[in-house]
Amino acid sequence: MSLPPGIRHPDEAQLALLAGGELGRWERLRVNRHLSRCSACAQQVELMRDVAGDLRKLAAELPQNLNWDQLDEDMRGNIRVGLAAGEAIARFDKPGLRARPRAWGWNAAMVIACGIVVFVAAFWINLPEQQADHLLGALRRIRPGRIGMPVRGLDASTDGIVLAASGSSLEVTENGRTMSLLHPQSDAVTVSVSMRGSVGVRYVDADTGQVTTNKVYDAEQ
Amino acid sequence: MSDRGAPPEVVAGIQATQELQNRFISDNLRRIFLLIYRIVGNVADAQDLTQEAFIKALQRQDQLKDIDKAAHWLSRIASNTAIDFLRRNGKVNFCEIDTLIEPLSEPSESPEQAVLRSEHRSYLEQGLTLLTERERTALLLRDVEGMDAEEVAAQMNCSKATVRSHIANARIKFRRYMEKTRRLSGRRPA
Amino acid sequence: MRSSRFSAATVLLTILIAGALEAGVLPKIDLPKDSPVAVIAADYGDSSESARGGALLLDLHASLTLRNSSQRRIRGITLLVTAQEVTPGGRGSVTVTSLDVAPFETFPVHIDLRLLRPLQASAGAPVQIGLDGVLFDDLSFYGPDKLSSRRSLTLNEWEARRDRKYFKALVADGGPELLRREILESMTHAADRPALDVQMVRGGRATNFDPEKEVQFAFLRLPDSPVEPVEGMARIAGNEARAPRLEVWNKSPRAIRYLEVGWILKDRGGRQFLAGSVPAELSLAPGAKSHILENATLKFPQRGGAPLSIEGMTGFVSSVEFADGSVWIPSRADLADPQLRRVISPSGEEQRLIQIYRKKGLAALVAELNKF
Repeated sequence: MSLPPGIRHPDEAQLALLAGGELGRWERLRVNRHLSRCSACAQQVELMRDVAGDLRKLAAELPQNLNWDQLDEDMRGNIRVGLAAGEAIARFDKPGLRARPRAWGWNAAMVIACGIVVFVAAFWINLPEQQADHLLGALRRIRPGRIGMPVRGLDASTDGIVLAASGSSLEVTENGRTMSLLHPQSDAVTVSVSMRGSVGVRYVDADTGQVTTNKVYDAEQ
Repeated sequence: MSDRGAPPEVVAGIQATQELQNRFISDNLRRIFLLIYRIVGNVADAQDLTQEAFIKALQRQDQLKDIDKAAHWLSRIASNTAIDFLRRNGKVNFCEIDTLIEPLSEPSESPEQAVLRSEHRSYLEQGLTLLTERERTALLLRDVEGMDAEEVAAQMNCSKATVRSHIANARIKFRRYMEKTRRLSGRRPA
Repeated sequence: MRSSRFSAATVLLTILIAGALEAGVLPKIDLPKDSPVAVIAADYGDSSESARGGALLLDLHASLTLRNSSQRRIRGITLLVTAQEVTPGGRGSVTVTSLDVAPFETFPVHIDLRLLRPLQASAGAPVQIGLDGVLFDDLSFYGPDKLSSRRSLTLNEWEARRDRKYFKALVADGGPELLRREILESMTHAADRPALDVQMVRGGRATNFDPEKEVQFAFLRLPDSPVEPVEGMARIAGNEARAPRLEVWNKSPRAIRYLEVGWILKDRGGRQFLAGSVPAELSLAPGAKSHILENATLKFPQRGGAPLSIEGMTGFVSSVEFADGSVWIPSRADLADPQLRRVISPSGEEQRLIQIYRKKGLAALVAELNKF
């Protein structure tokens, strides 16, 4: 149905507010009267009402690639810890002070034992100082990365065995070839070094709840 | 060392309280996380803020007079927490009104790419990225959480008129985005 | 020990991942015929092999289900992991401790491994999994013990028993609330421990330009320790510490065959961290003294901020094994020393119990402690 000449369409904002029921009574009546004669505007309002419906559906969808079970577990654990910390502090706070949880690092308030430990066997003593500096520079470039990504940056192409620990893996590298034992990128990982020739990482397996220690060794045990 | 464990009644009391808390968390965790996530836009902050919201709520449970309104009350705490976070980080002044920019600024992905890759990314999520934080927050509180405009204004600490502007702008942007998407795909996006 | 009816060659149930991993790439699981554990299932779910430049990248994610085929409860297990064609001189292990597996019960072990193999890989399994040791609840041990797993499993078990006893005593004396406070305090200390980058090399020389100096060890003497460190020194140059030399005295009436000395370093800013441990296999008669010398270098690369500069060192005896196989470890009272508490991480068992508390709450933690 075409509009008589001189009749103006409501502005977009009015249509948008009508779609959500936010217009005042008189405005609503006027705009509705217009919609009864203007299919284009009615279509716009319908589209905007669809948005509301679609948003409600979207609200129930989780973000892509999110491990909800793990996140759920982490959040529950942190909530519990936060409540307990709040209670503990409130008990020791003076009266009148507002008790609030301490600023825990949220990752379970546990240490991020993300040390990088490199055990370099025999080739180190033959390394000129420039190459030693290069090795240090390479170590600085090491990033834990995704779970399971091997640590890169050490040049183990020369003879000798390199042992390394990072936030996500232990590596033993020999003549440029590497075997890595992977572990979760967790904030509760404990790194251990034995000067007898091993490097280890201990953590509590999130699936099994078991205490798991991975280690790499050189041959001279 | 004595072989005594904790007295049974103490353990039972702790268990009862924990069960109530656990149930409250179970019933609301996902919904609150998603509400906060849609406001702040990233998982890491959403996780922290969700935790903070539940801790606040559980610490203030004596302020809740009507148990039937617990979910709504928690939503308000959660949205408050998210909005405070955005304010603290200086990201947004909720009471400024955005000009509706013409033409629409392009999302990081073109609509046709979004349609083609719809199995990877919801077109709705794409549409939300077109909104400012103010617009997105107002729209989510109004259309998803079902708060009336007055309540949204209280949450965002703005006037009702400002909130209406945010909501209107958000819907207009979304409508234009949907029209464009439909034109390109020849169908309604999934 | 009951003979195992299953060996690597007769794994009954192997679930291959959907087409991405060929049979020839599966690990070879080799357990002795009389092994007290048997592999009853091996799931390689997300495993894959793909070409990466001039190499083959093998991503192995093994979920093994083992069964206790013995008549005793299992407390710990160490599996040996090797890749002979890739790193013939190196090896790995996966150890699970704080177990409580009854006879004929099953338990899982996860092994996640990544290998870069030559493109022209030889035939045969690239990864070999064997058994290094199993520790039972009576502290008896089975296994070839190539990785000294008997000692490490036993030490872990003693630490676990010590900590469970301590936590149970807290509940008995002060109720669950006292236990919760202790757990929270443990978590607080964990958050305060500095993270560390360390390099270690056997032998070695100073690579720093800083002048090298000899620094005497300070010692933290634990009152109940059967061994007392007498004196020691190491060479320090900036962020390097090398060639520690220690003299120890067996003040107990029992012969000692092994000990470990923990090495704490302090930097110019006063931060302390546990750099590593110095193990020593020796034969130390009652009242005798001995020297420990480790020709190794520790280096602490710069990790942002000011470079680390080592100013002091402290040693402490962290474990002792007597000639009869019994062990000594620091008590909870020893570990309450503020200096040790700042640097030493909780035991595996304490971490496990903390995890139970985080995931399931205080009541579940108390229930877990009451199981033992």
